[in-house]
Amino acid sequence: MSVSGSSAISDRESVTTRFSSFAAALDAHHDARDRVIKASRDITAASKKIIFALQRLKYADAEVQRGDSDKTRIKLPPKIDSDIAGLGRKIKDAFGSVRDDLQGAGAWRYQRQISGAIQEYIEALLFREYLMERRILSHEEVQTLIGDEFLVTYTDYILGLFDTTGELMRFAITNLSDVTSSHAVQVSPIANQICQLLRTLRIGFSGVRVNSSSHLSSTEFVKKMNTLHSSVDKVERAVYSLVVRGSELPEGWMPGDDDGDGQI
Amino acid sequence: MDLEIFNKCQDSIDRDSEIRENIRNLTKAIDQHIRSIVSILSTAHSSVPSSFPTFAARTSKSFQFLKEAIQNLAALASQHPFYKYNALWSRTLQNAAFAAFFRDWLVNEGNSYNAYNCGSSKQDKSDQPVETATENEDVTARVGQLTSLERVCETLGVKPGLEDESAFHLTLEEYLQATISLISELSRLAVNSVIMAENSNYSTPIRINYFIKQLQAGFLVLNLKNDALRSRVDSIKYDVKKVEEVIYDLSLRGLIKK
Repeated sequence: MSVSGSSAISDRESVTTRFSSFAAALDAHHDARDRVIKASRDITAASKKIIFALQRLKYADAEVQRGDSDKTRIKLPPKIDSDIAGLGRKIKDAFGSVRDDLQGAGAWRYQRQISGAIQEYIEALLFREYLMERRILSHEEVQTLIGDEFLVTYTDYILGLFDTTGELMRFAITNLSDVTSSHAVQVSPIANQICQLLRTLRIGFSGVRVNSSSHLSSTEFVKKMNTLHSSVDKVERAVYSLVVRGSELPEGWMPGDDDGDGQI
Repeated sequence: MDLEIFNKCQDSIDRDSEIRENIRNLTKAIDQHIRSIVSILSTAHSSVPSSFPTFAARTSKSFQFLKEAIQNLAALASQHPFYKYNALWSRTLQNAAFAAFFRDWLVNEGNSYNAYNCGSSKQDKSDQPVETATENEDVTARVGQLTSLERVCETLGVKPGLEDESAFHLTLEEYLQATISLISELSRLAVNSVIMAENSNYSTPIRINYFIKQLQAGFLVLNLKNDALRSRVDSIKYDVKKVEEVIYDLSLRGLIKK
């Protein structure tokens, strides 16, 4: 067959030369993508550890009265505090290692690779802030905490918030009861507050219309919504059973006696 | 907590789906033009290779429409970060690039075929073995070139993305995917060109064979990851095999000269 000949060889070279320049571009892309995936794994792992560290917190022991109001805030035990600080540094380092890859066009090009890590980190940030200050960080605050050079989509924020509700549910269950100074058992204020918060979120998000064509895909949203429903259920049932059993507990104890809102 | 969050969430979803909807509509318009071009070009499978340039020329108007439709999309897409919505039109641009490749290839092939035809009829008359060597060189000397990234971008009216990633562009992956589509289309054409050949001019499969082997060698240069591109690159060898079988059949029966 006529596949040899002088012109033939030069053609073959020109195609491979052209592809060599493609190879360089493709390699650069794959390398960047790999770095982002690796950083993403590190961030996810460290964020999970922060969440676990916070779950080990005994809320009643950490509670300290605030000087200015009757609200309480908590002081983390030194061990948990230093663990979290160390993990926080790890996360910053991991973000730093892919700062250049996630600039400009890269921010969206590798968004899918980093998105999971960002959601997990948001979950840790929201959870921590809620336990410390009893409030939910806004999207803007989260963006500032992660750093303005990184893309934190609103979808990431919402999905991170959904995941936080699961952690809050777990925390409410493990810190469900308080023993008052008169040795009575009652529903802890933190459990009560979490119960309220979850209900608010449940009501609020049930009004959100999702569209299958949006970035926040409806299947994902519906799945998270179902998880939220069951979290609310679990907390409500736990609080309920403590209230019921509380009636068998020492006299003088009334549900909602010691916490402000008392809506159980 | 701030109850605004639910409104913001709703806004964010609504805005996003509106943009996606608009992009999809523009993409559909592009798809329509691609379909009409490809349907014209597909007559190659049932035409004599000498007629390729004639009907390839009939697509020039559609290519103009295609270019305009792509510009509409580019105008909208440029308002947003490029990779945010890239997945919505990636497939479409890939097909558009394929249409450009296929047209360019057919134009060249028609001319090569005609050139060879003249050569072979001359040779039939003179019937001298000396001619065979020069003629064989001719077969591959006129093999089509893969349309360059720059030229495809020019045809489609988009920028090549290698220097500025933020502007609306044809990505390298889309270009490479379109190349593989061309290989697979030509492997079919290799069979059909034999059916349609006139005067025992079976030079088209030889050129196709040579052309796709060049590309196959090109793809070997790339380090591929386990992704969409990789799985399609793996399919090239079957297309190459298909064409090799055509060449084998023809040479076994002495229908092409060794």
